[in-house]
Amino acid sequence: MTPLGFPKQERVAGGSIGPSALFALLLAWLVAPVAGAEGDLTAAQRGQRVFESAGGCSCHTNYPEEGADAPWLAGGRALSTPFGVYYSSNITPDPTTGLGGFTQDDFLRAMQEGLSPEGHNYFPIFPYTAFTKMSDSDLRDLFAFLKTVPPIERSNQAPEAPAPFSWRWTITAWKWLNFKPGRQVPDPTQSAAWNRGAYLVNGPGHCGECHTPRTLTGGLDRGLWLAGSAEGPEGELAPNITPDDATGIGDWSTADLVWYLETGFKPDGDDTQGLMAELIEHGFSDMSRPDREGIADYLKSVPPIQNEVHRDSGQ
Amino acid sequence: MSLRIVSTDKNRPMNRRPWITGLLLIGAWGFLGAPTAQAADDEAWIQYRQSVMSAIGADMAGIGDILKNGLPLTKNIEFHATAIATNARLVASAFSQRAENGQTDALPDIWQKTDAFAEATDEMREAAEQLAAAVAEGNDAQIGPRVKTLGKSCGSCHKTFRKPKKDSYKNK
Repeated sequence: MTPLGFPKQERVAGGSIGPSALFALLLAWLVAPVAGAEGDLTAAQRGQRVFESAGGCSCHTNYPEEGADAPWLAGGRALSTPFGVYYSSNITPDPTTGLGGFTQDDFLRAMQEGLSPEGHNYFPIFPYTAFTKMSDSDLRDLFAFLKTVPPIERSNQAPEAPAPFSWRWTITAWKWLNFKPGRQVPDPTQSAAWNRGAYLVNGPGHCGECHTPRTLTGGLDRGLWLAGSAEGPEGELAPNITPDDATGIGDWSTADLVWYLETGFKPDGDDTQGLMAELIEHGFSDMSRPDREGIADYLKSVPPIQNEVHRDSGQ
Repeated sequence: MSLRIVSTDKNRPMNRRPWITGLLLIGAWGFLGAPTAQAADDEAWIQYRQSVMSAIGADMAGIGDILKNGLPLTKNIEFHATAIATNARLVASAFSQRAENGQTDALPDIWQKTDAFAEATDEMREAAEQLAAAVAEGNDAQIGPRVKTLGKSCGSCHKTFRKPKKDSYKNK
C-alpha cells in the first residue's frame, strides 16, 4: 500500500483497477514526471529534477520586477533582509557573468562550502547552509542541467548593505558561528520515504532558510527549526510548518501537504502567494509524487513547536 | 408659556439659538453620524464580498478534497466548478462599491484598474467553466491540468489585487 492507502498497482497509468477511472488518470498525471527509470536519464535530465526540488531556483529570476518575461535564471532579484538588500546572481552558463567559467568542482565548492572559484565567501543569502547537505551526484547533475539553459549576459550586482554586512571577509566569522558543512546523513531507523523527505527539506528544498527565524547574527535559530519567521526573504512572512496543531500545520493531512506542493492550494481552498507560490509553480509542482509524499512524511514527523508568526511577532 | 415661545410678533428680534443648535446638530451628524454610517456601510460591503470569495474558496477546497484523497465523486467536481463560475460572475458587483473601512485585504487597484480586475475575474470564470466542461464530457485526463489553470487564475488575481500576507489584517 502507498502512503495514501491505495494499492500500488493502481498508480500505473491505464490500470484497469481503481476506485474510479478519474483517480487512475489523476495518478497518471501526477506520476508522469517520473515516468522512466532513473538510469535512462542523462545527467542534465536528472539535474532538472534536482532543480525542481530546489523550487526551480526561483530567487535567481527577477519575477517581481520583470514579470513572467524576466530573463530566466539571470539573477538581479533584490532580496531584502534585516541586514540589507542582496541581489541574486546570474546562474545561466554565460561565460563572463554567469556560471560559464565554473568547473564542476567550482560549482560543488560554491554549493557545499559557500566559496567562489577565487576563494571568496558568498553572502549567506545564498543558502549554502542547506545546499551543503546535498549529495555530490545531485550537484553534478544540477550543474549539468544549468549548463543547458540559455546563457544570458547580465552582470551581478553588489549588495546594498551597510558595513560590515557588505564585507565578504566578515562572512568567515559568520560561517564559524552559523555554518556546518556536511552532507545529509540518513537515519537508518526511518523509512526510505522519510529519509528522502528529510533530504529534500533540508538540502535542495532549503525550507529552513525561510521557515526558521534567525538569530541576531543572521544564523538559523535551530531551537525554532521550521517554526516560522516574520522576516523571510523579501519581507515576507514564512509560516510555521512544524506539525503544531495551534500554530503550525498539525491539522494538515499528508494528502493536504502533497496536494499543496502540487497545486499551491491550502486545505481551505485559498491559494499561495509570494515566493512560495513561485517555488511551487517553477519547481515543487513538477516533483514526483513520491518526493512530495516524502516531504510530507518528514514534515509531519518533526517536533511540533508552538510559535505564532505574525508581522509584529519578531519571529 | 408655549404660546409665547411660538409668538409671531414680527417686531421681536429673531431668536438665533434654534438655528445655531440646528447647525451644531447637523455638524455633529456630519462629524460623527455620517462616518459611522459610512463605516457600517463599508463593513456590510466587505462582509458580502468576503462571503462571495469564501464561497469560491470552499468550492476549491471541495475539488481539492476529492482529488487529493481519491474520492469517487468526480461528478461533484463539475458542480463545484460551476459554482465557482457562478460566483465569479458576482465578483464585479460585490466589489462595485469602493469599501475600504474595515478588515479587508482588498487593494485600491481593484477600483483603479477596473478593466484589469474584470479581466481577471473573467479569466477565473472561464477556467472554472473549462473544468466543469472537462468533467461533463468525461475528459478526465484534462481535470488535473484544468484545476491547475483555475488555480493560476486565482493566484494571478490575488497577486495583483489582494494585500500580501505580511500586510493582511489577519496578521495584525
